[in-house]
Order: sequence, then C-alpha cells, then structure tokens
Amino acid sequence: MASYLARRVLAAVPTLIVLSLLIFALLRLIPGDPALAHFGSKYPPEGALQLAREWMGVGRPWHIQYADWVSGMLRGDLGTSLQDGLPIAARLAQRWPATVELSTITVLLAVFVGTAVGIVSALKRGSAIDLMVSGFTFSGVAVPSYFLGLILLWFFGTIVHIFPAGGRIAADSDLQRITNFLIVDSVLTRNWPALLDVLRHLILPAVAGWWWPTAVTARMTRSCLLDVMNQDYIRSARAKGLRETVVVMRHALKNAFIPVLTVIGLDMASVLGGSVMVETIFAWPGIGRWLVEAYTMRDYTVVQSMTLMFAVWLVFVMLVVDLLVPLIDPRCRLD
Amino acid sequence: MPVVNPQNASDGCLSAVDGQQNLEHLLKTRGLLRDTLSSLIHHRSAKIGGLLVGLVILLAVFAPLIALEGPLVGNVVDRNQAPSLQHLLGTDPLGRDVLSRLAWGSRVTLAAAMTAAALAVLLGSVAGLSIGFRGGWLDILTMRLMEIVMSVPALLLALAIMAMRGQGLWNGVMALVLVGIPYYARIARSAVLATKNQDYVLASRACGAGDARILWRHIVPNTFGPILTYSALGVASSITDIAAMGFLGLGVRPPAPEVGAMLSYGATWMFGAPWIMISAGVTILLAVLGLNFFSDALRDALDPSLRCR
Repeated sequence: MASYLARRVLAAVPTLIVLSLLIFALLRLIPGDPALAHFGSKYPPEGALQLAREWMGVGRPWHIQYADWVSGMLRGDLGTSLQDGLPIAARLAQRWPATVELSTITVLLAVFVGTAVGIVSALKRGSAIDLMVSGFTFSGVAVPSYFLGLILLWFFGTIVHIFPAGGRIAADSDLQRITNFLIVDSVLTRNWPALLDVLRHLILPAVAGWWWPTAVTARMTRSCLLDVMNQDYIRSARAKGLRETVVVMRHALKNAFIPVLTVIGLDMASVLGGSVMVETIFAWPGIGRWLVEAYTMRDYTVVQSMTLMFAVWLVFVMLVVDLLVPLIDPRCRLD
Repeated sequence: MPVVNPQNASDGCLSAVDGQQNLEHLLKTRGLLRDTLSSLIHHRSAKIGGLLVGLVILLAVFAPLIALEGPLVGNVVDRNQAPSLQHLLGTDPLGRDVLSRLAWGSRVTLAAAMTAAALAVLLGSVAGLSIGFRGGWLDILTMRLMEIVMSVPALLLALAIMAMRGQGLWNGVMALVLVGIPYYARIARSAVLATKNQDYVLASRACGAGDARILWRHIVPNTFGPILTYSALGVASSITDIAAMGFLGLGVRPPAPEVGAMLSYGATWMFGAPWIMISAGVTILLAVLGLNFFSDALRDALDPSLRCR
C-alpha cells in the first residue's frame, strides 16, 4: 500500500514537468509580441517598447525564461500580471478559493446525482425511468454549459426570483473572511445566514456546469452496474437468499463504483474547462473569469501561470482519485 | 475538446426480422460507401440527427435567400420586436432581423467548426497512423505526451493560444486544430494497432506487400469507421468551442454575425429581448444534438458487426 502511494505521487512529478514545458512552449512558439500587444492599437513611444520587453523579460533566451518561471512558481512567486503590474499570487489568494469551491461542489453534485440516477436506471432497465435517464444523458452532451447558464439566469431573473443573479455572496454580508472558501468561513464563524447566502449564490453556476459531468457519470454507473449484475457472485448472493437491496447495496454497488471513480477526473476537467464560461456569465470572481480578462488583454504571464494552476489542480484531483481506488478495491493494493 | 459520448449503442441493433432483411441487403450490396449509406438511411438516429443538423445547414446554406437585405441592415424603428410573421425570430435592439443574422451567423460558425474539425482529423489521423504503424519508442513517447496534453481541457489550451495570437476567427480555428490533433491521433493509432497484426495483414506481408501497400489497402480502410464516427462528435464540439470563443468576444469582430457572438449580445439584452439569446442558443443546441445522433448512427452503420447481430 505504501509503495503504491509513493509510486502514484512520484508519477505525478514528470507529468507536471511535461505540462509546464508544454504550456510554456505553446505560448512561446506562437508568433506574437506581448510587449507590442501591451500597447494595444497605439503605436508605442520611442524606447518604450524596448523598456516593456525588458520589464516583461521576453527578450531573454527561452531556457532562462522557463527556469525563472518554474523556480518562481515553486517558491510561490507566480510572476507579475502585465495588466496591472501586481503580483499574481496576491490576487490568486482570493480567486483560487472561488474556483475550487465552485468546481468541487459541481463535481460532487454531479457524482452524487449521476450515480443515483445511473443506479435507478440500471435497476429499472427498459422502464420509462430508464428511457428518461437516457434522454437526460444524451441531451447533457448537447447543451453547452454557457447556454444552460444563460437560460438559468434568464429564468430565475424574470420568472422565479429565488436565486441571486451572480457573485459569490451578497455585497452587504458581514461574513468574516479567513480562508476565502466562503462555505468553510461561514461554518468556522458559525454565521448561518451567510452560509445560506453563499449556498444560494452557488446553486445556479453549479447547475450550469453540472449537466455534462452528471450525464457522463450516470452513463458510466448504469453500464458498470449492469455489467456487475451479470456476475457470478451476484447470482451466488441471490442464491444465498439475500434480499435484493442487500445484493445491490453490499455486493453490486461497491464493485460498480470503482470505474465510476475514475470518471471524476474527467468530470473535473470538463467543469474547469467550462469555468471560463460559467464564471463569466455568473460574475463569479474566480480564475476562469480572470483568465478571460487575461485573454482579451493578452496578459501572457497570467494565462501561462493560471493554465498551469488548472493543470496542477487536475493532476491533484486525479491523484486523489487514484489514492481512493485501493480503499474500495483491495485488488489494487496487491501489486 | 473532450468529446466523450456517454450514449452507447442502444437503438443500433435491429430486431430479428429487420436483421434478416439487413443481412440479405448486405449480401446484395457491395462496397463500403454504398453499404454505409443504405444502412444510414434506415437508421432512426441518423434520421433524427440528419433532420436536426440539416435544419441548421439549410439555414446556413440559404442565408442569402432568407436574409434578402443581409445581416447588417436594420431599421431602428423596428427595434426589439418579439417574433412575428414579419420577423420570424423577432428583431434586435438595432432593428436587425434575428433570423437573418442567425442564418449568416451559422454560416460563419459552421464553416469555422467544420474547417477546424476537418484539419484536426486530417493531421491527427496522419500522425496517429504513422506513429502507430512505426511503433517503437517514438510511438510511446508521442502518445504519452499527447495524453498529458489531453489532461488539460482543450478549450483552455485553445483560448491560451488565442490569447497569444490575438482575436479573430481564423486564430480560433488554428487553436482548435492544434488542441484537437491528439484526440484523433489516439483514435487512428488504436485502430492501427488493432489491425496491424491481423492475419490478413500478415498474409499480405508474406506475399511480399510493402509498407505503403499494407497501410493503404488494409490499415487505412479500417481506421475510417472510428475516425468518421469521432469526427461527427468533433464537429459538434468545435461548434461549441467556436461559439464559446465568439461568446467571450475572441472570435469575429462585431457587427459581423456569428452564433456565439449573437449569444453574448443576446445575453446583454436577456430581459428586454430574450429571443435573440434563445434563438442563437437553440441553433447551437440543434446542431450539436443532431451531430451526436448522427455520430451514433455512423458508428452502427460503419461497423457491420454491430449492425446485424
């Protein structure tokens, strides 16, 4: 078990190195001068272009730029935003929790609803419920998260006013910030009205990014559970005279859930990819919206560091999933 | 471009009677193309998908007929009108006809998405074919690299590339091609690996066939199925991504129409003129949903073993 753990953690290191190289190369190989872009449509004054290049450090050899960037990242220095000249790390402290909170809630919601829906449709195979679930999972891939988000915003903005239209928390909230994970903060300070407010703000953006991962999870759960239900040990369990609920809950689900766990990484990737759109629509002050600002301003230091941060977060989620698998599946512990 | 289709074959397998007819049909017809086309025509998913995508394609193709005055002409007196007989999808705050803009806009979006998908399919399959056929350390290294690239959401990478190249539709297409290549390469490669050591390939080699002949006669035809199936999904996700770029203001420059840009324009007028946003969104949805159906049907039609079991 310990060696399994160590191997998985060590395997993440080369992945991260390659990812950082790739993102770095991707942004360098493409022609374009960030210093020139910085001045926009204005023609830069004499010498200013050279000065900007020096300040951004774009004129130096690539390997030195890369070494600087990576060693900075490792020390916690993420560079300086080209838009406002402020250190990226300072804004990250506020923006990062917003994105992590939203994406984690979305994925958890997707996993819970997706598995529940998948189990029901597998057990009631061929029924009307199963058909409805099929329709739901099929349309899940066709509705882009941003269109769903807009429809939700429109519906709850004009017809039913239950949820706020954007942001993380009401502007006049008295919540004391400790970690910037607002759910954690409101629980820590026992500020229940604030917790309710935070959850109400979370619901719409979470649902907007939730359909696709839920559909994938439901589909996966359904097919895995159907596979497992045909196994010999399920027949043995039934032959022993166990009740059907026990057969499903104790014998089938545990085995069916192992492949489903691995979908979580895929879910997280889709939610992060969609976060750029969802955070823009719901005025969510996270990394996604920051990235959009950086795209339009051609702020390549932010684009570079934040894309890598997303990649790191994904690698981390996959690692956690990998470490969870042997807890459920003893076969993994053997090798 | 994470195009994972959670829908598995459900309605592809026909009943026994149909299967019998289909088998006879199969024996009569010759050739992959005719065979595939004839089974597509009878496939339910293909009909639904074809209808949905067809609607959007017709809209795009006949844009000059639908929008006689062009997408940019508007009369401010007629602004923000709800859908009516005169303006089937209403008008926008500048008095422009939404249907006309949508027709021209879907032209742009569809053309861009199809170009992106086609280029990515072409480059990706060539890459996958060659590294899969050659094998060895190059194969392992390339695939490992591509897997790592695929672990980052494609839209994020594409947007990062666009941030460096600047806004514009063509830059968006190029970015999507770049990030799309690994997905197709992986599919082509696995198809190659599945056929490379089949008996008929070995037999052909024993007869003295060279690499080029084996690739062209035996391996390439076997990659068509998975690649085509996947490219239908690829076009779908390119549409979503191109529209996403347009939505973020990184695609075409206004006032040129594009479905994603229309969606974001409609979003700012959500409460005054919701029909702009809804028609743009529904257009994307129809195209993507239709392509998903179509891809399902294609998979069944291109794989005879799935069709008449």
